[in-house]
Amino acid sequence: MIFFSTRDLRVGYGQKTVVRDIDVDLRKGEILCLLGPNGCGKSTILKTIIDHIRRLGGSITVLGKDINQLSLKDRAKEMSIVLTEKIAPDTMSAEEVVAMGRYPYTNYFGKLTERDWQIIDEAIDIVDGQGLRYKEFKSLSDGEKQRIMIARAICQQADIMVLDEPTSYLDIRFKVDLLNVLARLSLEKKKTIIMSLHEIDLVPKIADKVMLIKDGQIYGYGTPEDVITDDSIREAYGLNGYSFNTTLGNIELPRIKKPPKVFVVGGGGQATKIYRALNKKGIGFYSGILFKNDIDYSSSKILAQQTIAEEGFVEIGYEKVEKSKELIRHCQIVIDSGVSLKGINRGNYELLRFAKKEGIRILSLREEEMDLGLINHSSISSLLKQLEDIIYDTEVKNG
Amino acid sequence: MGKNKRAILIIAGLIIFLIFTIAINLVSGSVDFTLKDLKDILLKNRELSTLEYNILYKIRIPRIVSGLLYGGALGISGFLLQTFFRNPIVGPYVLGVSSGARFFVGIFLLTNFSLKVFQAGVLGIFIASFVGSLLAMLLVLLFAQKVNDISKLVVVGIMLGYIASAGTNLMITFAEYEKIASLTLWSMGSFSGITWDMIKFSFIIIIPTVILTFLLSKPLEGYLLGEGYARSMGINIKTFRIILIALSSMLSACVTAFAGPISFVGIAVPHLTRLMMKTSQPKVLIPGIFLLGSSFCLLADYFARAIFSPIELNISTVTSFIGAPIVIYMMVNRRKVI
Repeated sequence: MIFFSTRDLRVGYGQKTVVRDIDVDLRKGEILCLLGPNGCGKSTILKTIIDHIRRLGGSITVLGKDINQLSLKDRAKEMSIVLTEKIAPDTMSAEEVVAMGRYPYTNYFGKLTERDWQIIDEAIDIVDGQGLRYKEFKSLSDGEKQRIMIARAICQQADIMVLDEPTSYLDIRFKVDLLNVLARLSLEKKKTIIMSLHEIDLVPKIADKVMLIKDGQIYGYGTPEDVITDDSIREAYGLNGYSFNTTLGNIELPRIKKPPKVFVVGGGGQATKIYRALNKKGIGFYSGILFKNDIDYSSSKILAQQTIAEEGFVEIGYEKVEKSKELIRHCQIVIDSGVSLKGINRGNYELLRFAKKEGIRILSLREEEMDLGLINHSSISSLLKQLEDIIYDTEVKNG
Repeated sequence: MGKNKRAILIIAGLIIFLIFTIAINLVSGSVDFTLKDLKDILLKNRELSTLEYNILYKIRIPRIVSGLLYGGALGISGFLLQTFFRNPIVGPYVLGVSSGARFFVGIFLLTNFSLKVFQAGVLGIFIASFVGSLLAMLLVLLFAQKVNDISKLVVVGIMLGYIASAGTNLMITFAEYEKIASLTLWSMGSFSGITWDMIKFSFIIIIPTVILTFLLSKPLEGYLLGEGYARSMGINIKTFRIILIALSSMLSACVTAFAGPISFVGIAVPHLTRLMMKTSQPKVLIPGIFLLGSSFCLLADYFARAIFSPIELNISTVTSFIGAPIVIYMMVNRRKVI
């Protein structure tokens, strides 16, 4: 059954419409994430839902009843918020800030009853904040403050929680902790959560519904699986030359356009860091022979000048090996990431043998020598240092 | 729990301090009484001479009562403004409110411009001062919607204050000497010459206003997290804003009308109280602020009378000497403050 919905919602400031035609349907306990580039109107939508700015048109209903029909107090019991604005109340402990959530329920003088304290205590537990409880709110770190503000919102015991970019300013651990708290609230307490997030990679892990917004238009609305695709993200965010892998939740910087001097023998996820380091140093490269289901393949496709790849779970074919040999012939150096050279991977062994025969130096992260004339390194950094020296020397030699 | 205990202790301490400041103001002056005298007078064991009677009932006691009322009122007025702007360094003086009041009192005292209501004497000054404060406050609020940076707003307040002062000076240029004298006397700020009539009137304004403020403790507390959260908790922001400003202006206008502009009490007292009580809860702060404001003013008045006796300083001289350093200290240590 639909719990929260908007129809033909139009939001903006004064006369100016920022986003129009917003139709949302949420069941109780679902999480909606608003996603989109800076300035696309996420905050405007949220501010309209919490009635901080006037709605320009359309309806916002809870169980079929427009929320404008509720009194301010009833509304407070229906919807709690966590804002982006930073607050710095003087001489208030974290506990006092959390207790503010009980405002709509307390008596005329705001007296907290036994029951109120239980709820406060439980809310602090949920955000794992007992250690912060008696500290001064202002002295807390951004992440701690955010947790306390969420505990405050929980205390308000509203069915709907609206959060504007709750993860900004948080480091990775608190981000994940926070989203975990929200996920639990939706599952265990049946809270309907509406929030804006910046982390495209995290959204599919928490959202039941996603709204992707671009230039005042709803670019996509639905389940994250449907809405968040490599193409939709590139379009909505206008990623020129960049590419966001929505499956892996990973983004690579665009490829350096320089003639390749290096061939990287990769695979098994061992080469991705090498690709990135080469790209960062401005060294163009080829890579192969990768299986298409390999994690290195997705990054190589973006970063390498050319990637030689074989279908997954299929023995590397003769023609791929020959194509790779052709590329290696034009390279100064081969980097061996240390991938297995056995079984269906034997083609890569062929490549290293070919390089040795051609007199091309092989810098390797492999632990054993294997009679291939490998120059062994124990770390990517030392390997890169030698690589840069070699390239530099050749450039000097060739003037 | 610990906090409440602390608050009660501090309130008790403040009451004792207030009694002390009342006592020193009662006994010292051109004619000294001893505490024993006071006790005897209270128990009606001692007849007062006419001179003593006049000094006590016509000069000292009205002065003490007005210090008590006005000090408390200024503290509460500052507290309301600080809550509204969510900034501990605003006060009626900083935001140009006092200058606005002075400008309007100037119109009343200096020019021949007169309305029927202005002819009611005491009430006239009050109305002029009240209208002036309110207009200044409204102007500040108007700008508050345009600039959301509090420091800019303070600058706006100071500038408005300058404009009002310039207007007052303009009137002074063309005014008669005696009229200037009465404005100057008023502007100096003093608890002397306050009559029982004025006190009665102030009492009717200040006490209900302070009680009303106290009754608004809960929304005032809700306001501590900012308007966004306050609204989400069910507070009607628009109405509440108007109430806050009206209450604050009412208090500062009343004080300014009868005792002249008294600086720094409105800024320093709420903050000092907060520091002492280590809490922001309005329901415990409001009584504390009132008590500290009262004793602060009485102490300042005692110094004003005692330091260069028999020459009397005006009260703002003393409150500025004490209050301004406190404000500087607060600004510098803002981050470190408990």
